[in-house]
Amino acid sequence: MSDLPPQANRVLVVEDDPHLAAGVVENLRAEGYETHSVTDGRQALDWLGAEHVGLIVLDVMLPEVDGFTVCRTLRAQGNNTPVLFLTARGDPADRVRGLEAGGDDYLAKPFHLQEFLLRVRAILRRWDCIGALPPPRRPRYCTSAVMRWISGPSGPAPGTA
Amino acid sequence: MKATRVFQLTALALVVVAAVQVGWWLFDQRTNAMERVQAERILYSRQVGAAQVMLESGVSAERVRQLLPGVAVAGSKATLSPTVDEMLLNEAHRRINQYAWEGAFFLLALAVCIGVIARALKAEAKVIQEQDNFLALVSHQFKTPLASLQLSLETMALRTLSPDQARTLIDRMLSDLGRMEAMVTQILESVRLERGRVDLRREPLDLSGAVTRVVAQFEERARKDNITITADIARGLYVLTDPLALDVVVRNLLENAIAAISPVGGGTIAFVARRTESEIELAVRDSGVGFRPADGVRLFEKFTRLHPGGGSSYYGTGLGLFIVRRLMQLAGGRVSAHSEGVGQGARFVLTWPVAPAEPS
Repeated sequence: MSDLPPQANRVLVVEDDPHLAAGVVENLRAEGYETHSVTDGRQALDWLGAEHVGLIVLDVMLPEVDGFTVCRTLRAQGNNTPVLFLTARGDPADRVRGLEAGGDDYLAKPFHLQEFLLRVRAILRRWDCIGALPPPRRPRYCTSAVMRWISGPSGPAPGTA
Repeated sequence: MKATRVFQLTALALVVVAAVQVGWWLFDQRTNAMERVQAERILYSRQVGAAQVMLESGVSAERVRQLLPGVAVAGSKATLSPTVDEMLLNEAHRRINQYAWEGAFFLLALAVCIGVIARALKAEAKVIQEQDNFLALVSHQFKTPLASLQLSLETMALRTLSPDQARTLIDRMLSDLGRMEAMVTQILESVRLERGRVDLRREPLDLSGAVTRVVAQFEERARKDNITITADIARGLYVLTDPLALDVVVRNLLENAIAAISPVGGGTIAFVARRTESEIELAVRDSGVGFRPADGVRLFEKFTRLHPGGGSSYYGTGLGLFIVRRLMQLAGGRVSAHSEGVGQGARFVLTWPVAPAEPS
């Protein structure tokens, strides 16, 4: 993996509905986030193979590869970028599936804009805690950096890759 | 629904138990028949023993034959008459045969019952599965434009927008409302078609006139999307169908073609009709995004929306082509979709049987 710094300000929006994608992207930009948008799961995985973001806003019912599979694939690849599921499937069983697939948060459509923006901010705030720290040896993922911070500079290397 | 299922399962269990019982009865009767032959043989062997004693004590062979007709006397030796042995075996076979036929008939009847009940259970499970899928898809289809509407409205409430930005959001909202309205219409239409609750008229209709009317309604939209629509249909081609159904079919195919062209920023749609020996064919060719040849059949299934990168419409409800196929089936015709692949455009072909009595 490359030594790119964490892109705490960057959000990938994976949504196949162009109106919704445009609305989400415009609002995230208005909040000062840098965004990139793709319309299916395969594109998301391809793009994330080369790029780094602080958060992925992921729809579930996507063409090609569905959102749950995208998230599971990322986790299997050792990519721990936070994932916020944004989907029409809002019943508890689906939420559990999403969180089990490795999602960090779950928001059912239709959703409230402010709640969405606050959740995004809450997830990305974790990057701020790393800002004041000396650069971690493997700086790519927030969770591994936090683990290192907890275990101290001479602590054992966490298992995340 | 649940009570019916319990009843069906109970009936199935009873029928299976009955089948097992019949099987056991069959086996038991066979054993019984063999045992009876055996018992009668023992009785006859006692008669043979008695005959032998009689012969040895000086009773004449003639007298022995008279008293014990089942015994054959050869010189001073008594044996079982071969006719009796044959009779015993025949009797056993007759009984076994009778039980086998009766049992087989009962088993067959029970197997048919099991088959019927199992089929009903399977069909019911399929219906429930389809209903669940339908509900999941419908809710997804509605929640997406709803979410988009809410997002646009909340954006307007939360932010200070320039007139241009506001205009974009209003257009987006109007389009979302249009999507929802189209969806309601199409869902109702598809449910009606699926349940067979349609009363289609059958009258000879001029294909050229029908296509021209629909195309005229789309002219402005086509111009805006940089799409050229041409219709090369000779007058005098008549198809036997319902006027409204024909209108819906052509309209849905045209909308599908426009949606396929939108992502590539413009193109052409061509209607071409021809008459073969027994059929009338109307082909709609578009220069849009096309689809993988393997998806040609899946396109007509409910809620199939192929990705713009590999198929058709962004905004489609996934019901338009399903409705087209159903209406064509009801009109005694068919529809097929063809594409060389993604980016190669697509061709949809409607085929009707030639109207038997074309008006002059």
